[in-house]
Amino acid sequence: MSQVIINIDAEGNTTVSVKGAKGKSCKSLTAKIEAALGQTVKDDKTPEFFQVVAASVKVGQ
Amino acid sequence: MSHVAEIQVEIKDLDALEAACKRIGTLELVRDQKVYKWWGSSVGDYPLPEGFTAEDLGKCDHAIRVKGDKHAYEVGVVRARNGKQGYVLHWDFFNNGYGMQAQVGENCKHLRQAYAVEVAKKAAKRQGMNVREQKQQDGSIRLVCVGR
Repeated sequence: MSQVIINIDAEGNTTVSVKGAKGKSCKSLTAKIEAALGQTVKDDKTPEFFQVVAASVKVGQ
Repeated sequence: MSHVAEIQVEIKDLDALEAACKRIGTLELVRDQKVYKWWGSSVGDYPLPEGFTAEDLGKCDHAIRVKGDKHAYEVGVVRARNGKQGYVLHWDFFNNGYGMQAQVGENCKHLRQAYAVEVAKKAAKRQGMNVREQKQQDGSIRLVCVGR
């Protein structure tokens, strides 16, 4: 199950991150939360982002 | 973890700002209050907020006050200018705003944190997520949102 973690420090600095969602699906999970909060100024994609969701490839004859 | 986004928080949601005042407990948002209490004239010791002139100071769209405190200065909630969205917070921090700074924090940081918590919770719940709030030792607040 995917989790969205929002951290707001004592100065009000805010980050939004996702655990357990692969590929672009995590972006769709957080887009509305990010937009409600304000402007996304930096977006670091971690290796999980680049995992291909449908990894199985059929090899034809 | 698959992505980490840094957000510059903008105050756009008055209901969430009202909830932030309630979260702090000692503050209240007064909608449509068009002036906020301050020193009364700019002595030019600090630069004016971006896009505003000295004549704009003291005027606002809504205001935040310390409940039951007639002496404390107030925070003006003012529509942002220069094409920016939402509201900016104007207030006179001379003499710690006569009690306001103890409630909203330096640069309104307590109020900004409370606002971000409230607006993020609301957005996550609207998407059907369950939200768990965890206060951290360093004063930050973490929201753990679990999707369906």
